Amino acid sequence: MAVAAPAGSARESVRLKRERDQEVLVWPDLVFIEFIAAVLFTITFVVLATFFNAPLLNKANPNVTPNPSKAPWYFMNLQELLLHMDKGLAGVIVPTMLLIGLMVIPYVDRDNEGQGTWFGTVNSVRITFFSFVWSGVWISWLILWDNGSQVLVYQHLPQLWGSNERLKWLGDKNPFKGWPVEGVLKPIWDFIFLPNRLAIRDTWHWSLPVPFQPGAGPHDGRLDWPKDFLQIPIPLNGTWGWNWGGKPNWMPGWLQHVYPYNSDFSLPAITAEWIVPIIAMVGLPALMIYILHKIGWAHTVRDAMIALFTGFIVVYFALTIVGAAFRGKGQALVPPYRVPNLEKDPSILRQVEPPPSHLVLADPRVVVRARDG
Amino acid sequence: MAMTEQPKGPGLGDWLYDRLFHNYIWSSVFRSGYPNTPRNQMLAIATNVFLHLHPTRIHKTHVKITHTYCLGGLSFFMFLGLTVTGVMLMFYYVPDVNRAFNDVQALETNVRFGMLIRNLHRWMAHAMVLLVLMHMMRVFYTGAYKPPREFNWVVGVILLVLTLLLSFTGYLLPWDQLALWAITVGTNIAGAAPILGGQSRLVLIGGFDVGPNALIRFYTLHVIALPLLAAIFMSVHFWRIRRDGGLARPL
Repeated sequence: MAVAAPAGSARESVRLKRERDQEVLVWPDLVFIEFIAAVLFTITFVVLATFFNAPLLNKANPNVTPNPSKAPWYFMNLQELLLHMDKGLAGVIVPTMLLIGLMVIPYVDRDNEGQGTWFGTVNSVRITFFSFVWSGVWISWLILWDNGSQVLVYQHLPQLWGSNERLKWLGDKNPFKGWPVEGVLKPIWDFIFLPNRLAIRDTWHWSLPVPFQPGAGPHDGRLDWPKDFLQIPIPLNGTWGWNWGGKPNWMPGWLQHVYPYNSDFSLPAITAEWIVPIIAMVGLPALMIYILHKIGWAHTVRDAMIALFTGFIVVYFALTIVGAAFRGKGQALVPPYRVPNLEKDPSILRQVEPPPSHLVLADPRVVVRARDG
Repeated sequence: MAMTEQPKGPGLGDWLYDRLFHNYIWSSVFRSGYPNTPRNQMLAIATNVFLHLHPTRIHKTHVKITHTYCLGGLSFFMFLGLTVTGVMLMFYYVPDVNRAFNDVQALETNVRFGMLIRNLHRWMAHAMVLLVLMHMMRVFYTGAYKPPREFNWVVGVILLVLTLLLSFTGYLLPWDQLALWAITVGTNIAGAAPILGGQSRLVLIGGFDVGPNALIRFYTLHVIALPLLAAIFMSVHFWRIRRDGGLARPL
């Protein structure tokens, strides 16, 4: 022990000495870089602020709603998300889960391998690339699908291929007419070619003979979507299962206050607004990680985190860009040149009035300029 | 006779240097001498309240621009610039629905460099959001959140949220159509929360519509509450960089 200690400390001091050789002084090496960066950015922003004015429209008027009304750009991804699922899910639950997800990254991925270098692990670059393409393609497809854009393809593809006969079935409303299992195949066929998410609630329809319907009381012997699913009682409200006698008094008071025990829910609406979006948001990332694992690229938690984080960044910016540059009047999906420019729209055009007299300063030239606009 | 060069006496430069940096007043302000020796260079960092956020020496990979692209530092620089321009804007701005819009208009037309200051504030605010996002991406892809820096990543996520909130609260202040409707859309998003949505929207805008109460609330949050919070979390963020052993680098 007594012999080993000096040897160890000698090695230690050699190691420290080598570390010292790798170091530079903060003054001037780092302070200089910071100074130059600050100067460059100051110049850039002064030039930018000289040539590009911050927008100022009409005075706020609660009676004139601009169409489209848009959130600031960094929240436009949330605004875009609102178009594709329930408001509470898109506006609050998803962002909250994402923030929590971001915060727990370092507690899930604790391996120190590859830290401190760009894309430090073996497959990180190709995983990033895969996730970039995967997320980009899926988010574009989902936005287009929810907009019903693929209907155009179904309508025009048979014509585009020259022969109407060969692909006639693609645009066919019911290729299974007269089949014995038509009642099952037709809804599946319709589901595949649904124009958008809300069509699950509004236009998708099927009717199956189900003679035995527990707890349904007198019924017509068939189960119809969406008619029979519009008013499903919330569990524990006393109309099905055990009878709790109306108000569930066994629940603590705050839960009775929060729990909607006396209402019904519409399964078609829940499917369109919650279930389908959640399946997309959970299922597609999960499928991506499964594929990455199966093809042998993703081995560690870090690899999965890279895939998920890249997906988050891609979707964040894709939704922002679509919300900002591709949403026109009534939030319709339009090419960027048809998105109304708020500053040129007559209904909200900026009025150039001379400022009120108590705000006009003494310099007469300034007053003239203000009046001329 | 060998001619050896004799050292000359002190020149004018040396005299000036001595007068400037070796006098009673200079050394009362800066305890160290002019930073032209390694010792003084380290002291310049260590004895200065602003610079001592830095260590006195760092690993040479950390001064490579491509390691960080200065993104965190630039985010902080945007915060400083926004504070300075924001204070200037406060001189001319009154958060009252009857005055706010006119104040901004007057600032643009009647105040010398008023438009420039407003433009600077706006573009720097947008840039700060982008820079913070890019800084987060840099930290992620360099694996810099890994132990022992887990908690500092969490502080960083909180700072991202504070940056977004700062930008969002400032968006209402010009009180024009863009501001009113963007905040209406934004707070409606908050109001969509399942149980507490209506309540949280009510608290946020102080009423059922974006009006005078919303303006004064957003103003107060924007100019004092959120900047203070951000400053506190930034202090923790910078402090933890030092405590956790500087920037991340390969083991």
